[in-house]
Amino acid sequence: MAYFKSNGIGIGGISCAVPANEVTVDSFIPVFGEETPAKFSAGTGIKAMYKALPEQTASDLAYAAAENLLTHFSVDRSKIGLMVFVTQSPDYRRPSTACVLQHRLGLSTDCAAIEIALGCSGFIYGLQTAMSMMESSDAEYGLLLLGETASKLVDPLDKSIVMMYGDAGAAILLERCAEAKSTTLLRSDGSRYRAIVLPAGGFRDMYPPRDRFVCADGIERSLYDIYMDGTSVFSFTITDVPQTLQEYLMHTGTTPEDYDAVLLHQANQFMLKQIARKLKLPKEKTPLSLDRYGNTGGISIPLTLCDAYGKAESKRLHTLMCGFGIGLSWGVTNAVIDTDKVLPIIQTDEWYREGKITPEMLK
Amino acid sequence: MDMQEKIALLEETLELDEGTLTAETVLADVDEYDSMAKLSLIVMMDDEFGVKLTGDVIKSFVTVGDILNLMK
Repeated sequence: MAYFKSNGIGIGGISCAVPANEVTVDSFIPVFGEETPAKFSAGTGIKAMYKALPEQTASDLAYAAAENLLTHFSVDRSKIGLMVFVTQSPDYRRPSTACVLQHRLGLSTDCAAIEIALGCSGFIYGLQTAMSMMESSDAEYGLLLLGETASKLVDPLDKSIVMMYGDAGAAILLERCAEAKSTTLLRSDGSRYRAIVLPAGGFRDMYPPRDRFVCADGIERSLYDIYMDGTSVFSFTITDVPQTLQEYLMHTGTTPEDYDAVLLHQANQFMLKQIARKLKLPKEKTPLSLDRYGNTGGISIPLTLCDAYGKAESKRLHTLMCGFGIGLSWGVTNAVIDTDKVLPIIQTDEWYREGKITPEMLK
Repeated sequence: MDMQEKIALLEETLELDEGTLTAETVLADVDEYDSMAKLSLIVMMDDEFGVKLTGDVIKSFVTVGDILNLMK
């Protein structure tokens, strides 16, 4: 059983950023006609999302969220001893974008910076990794950053997912807090690695032909486009995910009533309804953000927190959080979060000009 | 649940008029059997029969009869 315990590490702040460029599902009517976008919205609950500019990367979104967080809470950056960046959209093939962010954020060289390549489960995995690292270190603060621009990997004519992915970044400050305790359950099932896959460009097949072909779902794609077997992902979401949540509740001796909020990865409203129904979660405890932000991968849990509580009055929330998806990979955790520490979502169209490397820069 | 009741439940799940389906109906010929209908089918099979349908099993369905065989 992959249960992890963390003691003495609390959440000192949460900030999220999205690109300034809002794209509505209705704006796809000229491409797909009236029926497809309407049906998509009715099924998924998604009505709009934010998409990054061509030059704007996942790290730019995470950077904006982190700057907002560190400035707002006046954090002494020299005291941040570790930073974990979760993304599947790095700036370069190498080096790790975590190192670039360490530099951009003005963090000390006495700061461990690592990257985790996970998607929808990334917040839960990243949080546990950062907390474990912090627990075994003398760092005063830790930083968990997440960024995703999955919208850039979708074929523009793929009606199954082009209206689904939103881009976003998140920053979470970890601090020492004597009474903080959390239990995390992490799982993975690589036998279903093809359920969501983008084959080209990795080192298994770096430059395959760009030919387009009709996939099993009747939609045309090339190996350079993200492919999702929606039925398999749905089946996973409504069977494995509620089962894992139930096991977690049993293991921790808690019930949904013990939590003020249950934050679920914002995959698809129909799926979330099924999970909520199986666990008998009341609607008011499961906030939604996907209607306005789409599926933002690992950022969707912090984004939902910032959306629901960023402007709320001061309250201490006992939260249960569950991320699940690509890998397949999933996890559940709990945390006490003060809404005072949750900032409203910001928008940005800034990008790191210095980071766009030209031949001149290498001559 | 007898065969007639199973077909009625399937019609309700797929939002079809009563009497639309028979065991021989080819799924590819049913316009309403789209990706959202498959999601409803997964939920119904799990709720009513405790059967967990994977994507591969759904892909293997050719006729309504293939689904009926698992409704037990």
